[in-house]
Amino acid sequence: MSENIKNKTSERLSNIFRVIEEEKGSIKLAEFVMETLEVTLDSVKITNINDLYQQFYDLFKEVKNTQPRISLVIYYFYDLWEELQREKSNIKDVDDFRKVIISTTKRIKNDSDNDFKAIVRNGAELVENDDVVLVHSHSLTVKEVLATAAKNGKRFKVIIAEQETDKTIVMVEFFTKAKISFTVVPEYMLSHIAENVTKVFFGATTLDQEQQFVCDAGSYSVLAEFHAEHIPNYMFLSTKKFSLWPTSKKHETFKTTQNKVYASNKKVLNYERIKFSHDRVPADLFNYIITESGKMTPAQIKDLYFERYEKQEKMRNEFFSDNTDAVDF
Amino acid sequence: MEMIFAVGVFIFCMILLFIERFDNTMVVLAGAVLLVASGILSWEEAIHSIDFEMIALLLGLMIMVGIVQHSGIFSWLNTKIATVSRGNPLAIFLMLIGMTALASTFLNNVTVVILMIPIAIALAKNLGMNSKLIVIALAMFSNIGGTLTLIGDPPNTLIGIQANLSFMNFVSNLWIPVLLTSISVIAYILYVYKHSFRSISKNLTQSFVNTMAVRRVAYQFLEKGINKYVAIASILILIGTIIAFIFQPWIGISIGVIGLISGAVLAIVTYKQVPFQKVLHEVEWDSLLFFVALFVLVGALEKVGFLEIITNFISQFADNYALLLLMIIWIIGLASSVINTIPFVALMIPVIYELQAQMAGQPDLDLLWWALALAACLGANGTVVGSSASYIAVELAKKHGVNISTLDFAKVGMPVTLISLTAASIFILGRLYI
Repeated sequence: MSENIKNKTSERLSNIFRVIEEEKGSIKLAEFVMETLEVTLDSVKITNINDLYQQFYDLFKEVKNTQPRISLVIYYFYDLWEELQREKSNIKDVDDFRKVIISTTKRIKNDSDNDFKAIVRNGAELVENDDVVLVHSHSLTVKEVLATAAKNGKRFKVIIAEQETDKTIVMVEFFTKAKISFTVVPEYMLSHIAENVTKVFFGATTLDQEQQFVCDAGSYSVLAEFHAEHIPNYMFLSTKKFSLWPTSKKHETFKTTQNKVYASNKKVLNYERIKFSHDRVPADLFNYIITESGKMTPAQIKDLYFERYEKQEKMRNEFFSDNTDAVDF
Repeated sequence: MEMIFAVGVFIFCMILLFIERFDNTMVVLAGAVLLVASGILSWEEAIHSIDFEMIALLLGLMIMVGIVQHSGIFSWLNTKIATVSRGNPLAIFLMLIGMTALASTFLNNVTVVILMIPIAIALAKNLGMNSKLIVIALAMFSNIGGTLTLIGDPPNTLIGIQANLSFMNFVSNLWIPVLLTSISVIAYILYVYKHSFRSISKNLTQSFVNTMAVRRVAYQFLEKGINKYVAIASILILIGTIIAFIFQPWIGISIGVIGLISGAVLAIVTYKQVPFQKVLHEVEWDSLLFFVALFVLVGALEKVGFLEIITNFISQFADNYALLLLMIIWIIGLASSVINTIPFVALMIPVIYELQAQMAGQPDLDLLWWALALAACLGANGTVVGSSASYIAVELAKKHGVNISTLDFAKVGMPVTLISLTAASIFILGRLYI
């Protein structure tokens, strides 16, 4: 593959990952990736096992280096890679390779479902009658936690902190469908209703090496405000979403210059508008982090993070440290 | 003096249509009003020159199209087929042009382009394909597909209604040149732009990225969902309409009335899902008015005897029938690539009638109609102003961030037009001599 095509492919993969993560969230993206991998392996016309192994390694490297990196997807690929290493002696041909990948993706999906259910179950237990829960993040997990609590018979209210219209509308649709009572308040007017709120729920894309959660833009302000008011803040995150690599890029930033026309006088004002895709929020501002393993404090999550980090670093050094493009099978 | 004035108004209108500085309907309407106001045509003569069957047919079809596009069936079909293609650029290209050509045989070309372009651009961008080429190819195949049937392209509708040709007359006479043209044009595009359709089936990363891209486009376009009731009703009534068109000579109901009945029935059965006021907004009233005014313009030319002069000029070549047919294909075909085809066709229909009368006894006189239809529809692919579908496709692409210049279009369009007209010439000569 020429360098030009390779660069374009990397850029396209990053764009697709970023867009799907924004639109559907990282859990759905990871599911998409696993399903797509199965479909692709089924349709691709590669007959040589060494060629397929090399190409899978190349794909792994692409997935590992997208901008932004999607931790859950990378975690799954490490899992697939580990399985391939374990089964190395049993893989004789392309069909064996496919079988290992497909059985592993099935197991991953199963594990992922179980983890999700565990977080939702653990989270739903936090919700009590007469709670007023503030939600800001466009998070599948947070939405499911509240839906499950409602199904469990808890009577509570939700306040949606209004952020980007698309994301807010998705939440409004969800809570309407789930028949959960809710009110929408703009995220910059929350101080007026702070005294009514009993709990604040957040979701995140990942937790990085600096122990910062990567959340929807605007999360930091909301969290800081309610942290100052001593209202309990909860983060819901699967431990498989940890970013187990050195933090290098601080922010994903998109700058746009807009031309705005005011209808009243048709005056055109040009100004620079800088938009940030995510906020990075220090983990220690949260009271608890709800994972598939239960309720954890920021200190406990830090220990778990670095335990996982070391394991992955070992694999990274073994397979990716020499910057080689080749891999032996 | 009357003739000079009428011809002057017609030519002036054609020039204004060519430079596209003013709204097309406004230009033709102003010309028609001028001819009536100046007394060249009386009010009764002007009304008499309008072919209301053609207007009824177009109105009925536009109502149907207005409802079909609310069903979401196009997005559903496109994304399903794209998913089956698993991101293969060649398969997706063939799927897109195939869908466009097929839909254009039964639906208005402009509507088909409006329905196809957004999803085609989304697929092309996500798959890293040549978006410009895809848009241009879609516009062209809407014209090529539309060539097949009486209702596929406005020039054909005009010819069919005015020359009293049936739906099946078109299909049985034009399927070979349409197929020949399609194959030739696809072969040309695949050869010249082969780098855009390189196979990815042996590359895991590219296959993976393309499959992800198709899945993303699929949920993006399927999120609104499909209105099953409207989709099923649309398909059933569309099939019923096509069957009625096929058996029209035996049913005895005019094509225009069939179109109106179909539109009315679909509007009635779907009025709860698609409010009729909304459907009326989708009807291209300006296009209907354009045809009304155009009929008046041509009616005036006929009255002042200008059409007779053209017929007499063309009939000089009647001794060599093959040459006459080739002249129609190439002169009208090349002219159609740079000017609006419809006035030209409207002008040529009475001329061809007159020629047929003069050449009575000559076998295969119906070839004159087919030569005219092929020239008008296929010639329109030459430049962006050749057909409304091409113009709308380019404008729509611009809104989606794909800028196609007149030169970009002509670079693909002119060779394609030459190939298409050659294919049409081979077919017509084949029919004449074999």
